Amino acid sequence: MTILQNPVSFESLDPGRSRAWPCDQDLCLTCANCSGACPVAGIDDFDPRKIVRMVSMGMADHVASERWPWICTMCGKCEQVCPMGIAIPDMMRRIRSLRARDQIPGILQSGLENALRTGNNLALPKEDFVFILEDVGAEIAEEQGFETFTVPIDKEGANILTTIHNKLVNTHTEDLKHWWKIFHAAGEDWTVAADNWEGTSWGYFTGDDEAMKTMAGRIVENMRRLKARTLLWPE
Amino acid sequence: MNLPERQVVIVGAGVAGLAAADEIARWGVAVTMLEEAPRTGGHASRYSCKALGECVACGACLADERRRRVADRENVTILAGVRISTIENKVGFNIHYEHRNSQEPPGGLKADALLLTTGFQPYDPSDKPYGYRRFPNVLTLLDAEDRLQREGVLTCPSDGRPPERIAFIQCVGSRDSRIGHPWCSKICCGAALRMARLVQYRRPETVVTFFYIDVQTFGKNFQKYYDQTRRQVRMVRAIPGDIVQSEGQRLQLAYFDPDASRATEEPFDLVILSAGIAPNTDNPSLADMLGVRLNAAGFFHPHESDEGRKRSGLFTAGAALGPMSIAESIDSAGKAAWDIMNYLKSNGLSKF
Ligand code: SF4
Ligand code: SF4
Ligand code: SF4
Ligand code: SF4
Repeated sequence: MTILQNPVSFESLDPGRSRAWPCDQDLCLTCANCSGACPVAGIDDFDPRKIVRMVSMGMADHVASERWPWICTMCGKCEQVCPMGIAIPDMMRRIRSLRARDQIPGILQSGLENALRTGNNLALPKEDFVFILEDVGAEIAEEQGFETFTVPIDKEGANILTTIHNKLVNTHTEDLKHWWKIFHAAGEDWTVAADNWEGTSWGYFTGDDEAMKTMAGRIVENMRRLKARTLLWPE
Repeated sequence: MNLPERQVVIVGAGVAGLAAADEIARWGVAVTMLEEAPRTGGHASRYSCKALGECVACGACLADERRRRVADRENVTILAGVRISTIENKVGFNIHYEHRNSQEPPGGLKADALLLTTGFQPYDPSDKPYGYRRFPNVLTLLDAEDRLQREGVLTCPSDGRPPERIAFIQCVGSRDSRIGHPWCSKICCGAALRMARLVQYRRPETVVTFFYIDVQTFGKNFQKYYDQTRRQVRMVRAIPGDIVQSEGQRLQLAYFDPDASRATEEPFDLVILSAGIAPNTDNPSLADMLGVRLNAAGFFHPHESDEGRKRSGLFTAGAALGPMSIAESIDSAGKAAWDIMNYLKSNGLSKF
């Protein structure tokens, strides 16, 4: 943070702005319970109490231009302990939403753009996705007691539709097996959608409500299309 | 039932009740005090003198003095160890009570005026993540006062030794809207700092750290006292998130160090929690019997307010109205005593 090097000019503060925020950060007592509970407090001097104060003083734009809001993991521990019940993770999202989309750090924005364009963060083509699922399914079928196992892709009328985290068809394919074997052993009627299967929604982390709406809408659409009764959305 | 005539009944013999009884009795009016505890004095009498060679205006002796004065007043009757069972609030009050720990039969009283000085309930911090009631060396400020008064020095309950390192944690159960206590308890910053200074005065090598949000305390000469305090007590502007007990009953405090801008842990021998002032748990049933409403926090409305005036002859003073220091309670009681005398006089109930 560059606060000390570049002292704040009081003319730039706008406390009236706090009224336009969805959470009551102007109730903050500056007790630091949030900072004491935060698992990443201290990384590059990150301090949630300071962010809450800065926002309530009308310095949201200043905070938005800094690295701090992106250090937060959005875990919500701070909100749990805050004596004033201030919704700090919501506030972090709101701050992140103030940043130009091409200024979002890391792979968050490119992953999200992939998802909006292709239905998943990896831009994995449908044929490749189906191939990976069937390949993992074939591996399971080689195990004792799972000889009849197949992956029910795009099956209409199943009880459960499950979404897939992109890492499970990328670096963590082994982790698909646990769920699937439980479904099989339980005799569950389940399915996976071949399109728009992505379970993560990085608009949550980038503060992009529209993107979240789109991603959630696609899952709803899959539920309708496949006439599934129960949604399993483990993300 | 034939009840003895009493002009003024005071419910609660803490410092506010005693101060009011002293004033009213001085004007020649008979007073009866009903107190639930076995003795008078209330929480105020748990504090001991914090003078550091010279007086620091803590107010503890004012409470003692009121108790002594009332004990000498012939027209004050004290019924301790009793619990009110019913109050009829008609023209005047009919009050019935029971003895809590004896076989004595229940009793009754008639009063022209009733003063509520029921004080407060100290907040019980068991639900906070500080190990209160689990770790022997975590005390509330009032627990620490009791130990100081009983033993003359402040020691660790685990081994009876004086603590090398003490932490004070402020605002425990106050300024906390999650538990419905959004108010500042007003007295704990001053009380904790006076305790810290006294311990250091008697044992200068004691290291004291004071975890706080902001210091809320007022009074004459406070700035001078506070400036001295800041030189001797380490002030950390953060409330710790957690305490764990390590080997040898040492307490490990987790907090965000604002100077170093990082989360940190630090060992202490004794942790003193400034547990806040909560409304007396009897307030709802008393309010119900009297047909008055409590404020949103659960304290009584002042009798001179619209909310408090609904029933005539009913008066309130002291921490029954909300957090108050000893000196403020005495002022509040003096005002109530004056209002009671005017009430008796204007209703032809007193020759005064
Ligand atoms: S939500 Fe962010 S600020 Fe709050 S505790 Fe988690 S990481 Fe820290
Ligand atoms: S815990 Fe809540 S009230 Fe305390 S400093 Fe953090 S945001 Fe402010
Ligand atoms: S006011 Fe407090 S410090 Fe002063 S003499 Fe009385 S008890 Fe002692
Ligand atoms: S007096 Fe001090 S410790 Fe007590 S509630 Fe107020 S600020 Fe907190």
